[in-house]
Amino acid sequence: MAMLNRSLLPLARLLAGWLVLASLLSCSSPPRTQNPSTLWVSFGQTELELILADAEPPYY
Amino acid sequence: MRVGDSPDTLEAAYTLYGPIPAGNWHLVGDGILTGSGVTNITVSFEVRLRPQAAVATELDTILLSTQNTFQRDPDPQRAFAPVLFETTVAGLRADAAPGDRLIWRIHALRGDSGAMYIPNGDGDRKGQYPGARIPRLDLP
Repeated sequence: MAMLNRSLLPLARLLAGWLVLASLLSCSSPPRTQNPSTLWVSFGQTELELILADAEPPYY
Repeated sequence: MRVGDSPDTLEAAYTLYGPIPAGNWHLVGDGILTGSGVTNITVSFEVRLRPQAAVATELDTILLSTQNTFQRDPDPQRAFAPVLFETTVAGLRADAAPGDRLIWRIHALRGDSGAMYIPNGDGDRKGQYPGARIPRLDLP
C-alpha cells in the first residue's frame, strides 16, 4: 500500500498543480485587447495630474 | 487650469488597444469654477490621437473639438457646486495602433480674470449635488 501511495505521489502533485493553475486562470480577468466603451477622468496626486481610466474612479 | 495663467491646459491620456471608428462621442465635462469674483469661464475640449513615440503635440490628430462657457452659480452656498456640461460630438476615425494614446485635452480659452476650471472629481458628492458626474468620454 505504501509503495502504491509513493508511486501515485507525482500524479497527485501534478493534479494539484493543475487545479491551482486552473483556479488562478478562472479567477483572473482576461487581458484587455479592445478599447473600452467609456473613459473617466481620474486624478493623480493633485487636480492637475489627470489620467483616463477604463473604470469609474472613486471620488477625489 | 486657469485663464491666462500657467497651466491653462490639462491633458489626460489613455493607451489604446486599436483603432476607433468614426462616430458620435458623448462627452461629460462637469467642472468646478474657482477664483474670487469669478462668474464664468469658457473651456475647450479636444480628443486627440497621439502616436506612441510622440513626445509633444505636433503629431497629434484632433478627432473632435467642442467648447462650453461655464456659468458659476450666483448662490454663495453653491459657489463650488459642479457646473454640468454634456454634449455629443461627431468624431473622426482614429487609425490607432496598440500603444498609441488617446488624449483628452482641456484648455481655458477665456473668462473672468483668475477664473479656474477643475474637472469634477467629486461626482455628486454623495448626493449633495444631484446629477453631477465625474467627467467621462463615451467612445463611438
